[in-house]
Amino acid sequence: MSALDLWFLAGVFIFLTSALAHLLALWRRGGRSLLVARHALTLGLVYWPLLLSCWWLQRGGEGFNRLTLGASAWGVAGLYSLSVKRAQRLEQLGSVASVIAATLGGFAFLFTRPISLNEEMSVWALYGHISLATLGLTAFSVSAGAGAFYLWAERRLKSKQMRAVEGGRLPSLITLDELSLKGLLVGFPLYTLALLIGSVQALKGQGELQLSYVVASAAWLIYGGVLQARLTAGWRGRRAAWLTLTAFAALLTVLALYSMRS
Amino acid sequence: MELVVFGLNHKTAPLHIRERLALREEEQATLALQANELCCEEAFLLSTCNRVELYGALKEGATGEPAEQALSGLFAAHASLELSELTPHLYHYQGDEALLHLLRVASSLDSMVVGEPQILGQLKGAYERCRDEGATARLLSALMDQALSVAKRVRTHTEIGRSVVSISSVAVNLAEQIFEQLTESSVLLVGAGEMGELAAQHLLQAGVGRLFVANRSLERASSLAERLGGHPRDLTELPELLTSADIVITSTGAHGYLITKDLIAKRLKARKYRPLFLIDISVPRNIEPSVNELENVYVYDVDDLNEIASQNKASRAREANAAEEMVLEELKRLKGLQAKRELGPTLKAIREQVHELKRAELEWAAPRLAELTPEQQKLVEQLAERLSNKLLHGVMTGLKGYAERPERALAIEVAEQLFGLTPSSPSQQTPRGPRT
Repeated sequence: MSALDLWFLAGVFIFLTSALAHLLALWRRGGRSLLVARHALTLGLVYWPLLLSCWWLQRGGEGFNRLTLGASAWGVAGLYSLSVKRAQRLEQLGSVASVIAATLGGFAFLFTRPISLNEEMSVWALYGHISLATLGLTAFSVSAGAGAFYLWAERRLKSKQMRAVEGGRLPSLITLDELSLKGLLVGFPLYTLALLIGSVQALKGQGELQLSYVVASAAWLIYGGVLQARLTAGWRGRRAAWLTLTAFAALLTVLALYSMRS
Repeated sequence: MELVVFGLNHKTAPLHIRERLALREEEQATLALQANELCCEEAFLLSTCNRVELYGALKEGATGEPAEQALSGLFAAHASLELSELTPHLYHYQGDEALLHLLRVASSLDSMVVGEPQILGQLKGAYERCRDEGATARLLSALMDQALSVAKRVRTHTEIGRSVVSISSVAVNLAEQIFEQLTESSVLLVGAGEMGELAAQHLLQAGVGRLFVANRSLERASSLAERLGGHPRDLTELPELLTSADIVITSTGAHGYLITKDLIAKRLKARKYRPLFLIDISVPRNIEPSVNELENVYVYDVDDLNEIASQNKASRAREANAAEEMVLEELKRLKGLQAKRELGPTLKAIREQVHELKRAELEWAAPRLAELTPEQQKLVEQLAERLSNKLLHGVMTGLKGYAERPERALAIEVAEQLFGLTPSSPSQQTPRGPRT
């Protein structure tokens, strides 16, 4: 493991600390943990751009996959920080945002292998594929995070465990559902394009059907189905959230398969 | 001058006494000014539905019992009650007890509903009204600032006021947990029960967009809708109304379920699966409990709401203990600050006195030390400096030791006499605020 790998691990640890502290704050309804969570997230926001700049200077285009995943992790954390300044009620979503950032950062850490530029894909197609897939993944992460939070909040409301004290402090079910839908609306076209570029390039090459491609296509189908049901049949709520999470799990499997290969 | 609190509240006086003594806003300053004529340097009156209290700084020389009698007479005259009728309900705090009471009142620890937020505004308003009429000035101003700051600290650092404790407020809170903007939501009130009306009023206050009132009797629906600013509907329209409503409150005397699982299930698609919040305040219940099993539908009956309200009450009680501790800590801190303020001028005067003596003695000795070398002269000056500092150190430490002891005033007096300090004229005195 190189020194830069260790720095990546430290970056993941920062977001992970923020995630754990956010979860603890959610459990305890505020307190010192929230302060730790905020500080860790701010630290992550400063740390990751520096880390990625170092990585880019050292590896250039070879480290593109790590760069995009790391940038996505930073982007999710940054987007959340910006949103929370506008709507205080979104603060409870910090746990979700930092878990997503930590996960994306974790994948960035796992992608240690440099991109091989002489494989079947052309350089620009490869860059396009990785960029679009990562952006799509980021949007789907937001969608899945909001969906997971929706399921938690909905369960508490259904089982009457929701203490009224929490009212006004958590995002409403409607907000979470809409956030999940927005994530799908942004992520789906990006992911579709990424998949198309990947498929065309794969066909140009050996045409060998890989497991990761099958799972990626399955995830695309589920996402397409959820989006169709949401937009035409008016699906929302629990069912939509579960399907979004299922598709996201498939997407994480694809990433895991890729990281195992690298 | 000493801080005094005099009055009654919901714990000591029944409603019929409290309402006799209750003051209109414009009367508060008048009565405070009358109290100033009797025994107070400054005073203000707080009058809410749960308490009528006078906060005052007693005049120099005014003592507890005569002041208490004078104020009792003032209150009895205002309430047009015999003194014997009123006196058993009155309380009187002085000094530390009075300050503690003020802090507890401001922090809503003495309220009927502990943690209610209104008291802070009422206290501030009462003080400002009396200040504007000249009944109170700088003496009570510092205390009010401290009380308001302690109250804010208690609110920020505990959850005493965070949870709601009435059924209607719980319903509003839950609605906000489902729908982001109540302004875009519509409420359907089924029946004309009192509790339902109250819940609907709370939702309207929270900003819900539209209200429909459905009842078996269209006439009663119209009357209630007119009162609440809603639209009347016949109960036969219930299925259609359930398609468009976001929040439904049932409060009827009907036996049996008006809203069944089947009825709602058939509406879900037409509703495009929008969330539906059903509040059943009726006993016997009007909504089939299994409706809660449907997706995007949430049913809360009166027991569920009560359960949340009592959990919140228990949570407030727990927080109240923490808040009480915080108030006691603040009281200790404020007393420490006040003691330092009281000791400050004496300590300063003693220090100046000793340094003045040193300077005078050095001046006297200067011609006699002319033959000494500059180094020797400097040594003599250092000797004088060290001697005076050592003398001061013992006195200062000793006096500061009295800062939080009851004998503080006596210690100050003795020290001033020992050092021959002449008290400055009243115009030069630093205002020390009412002694608590």
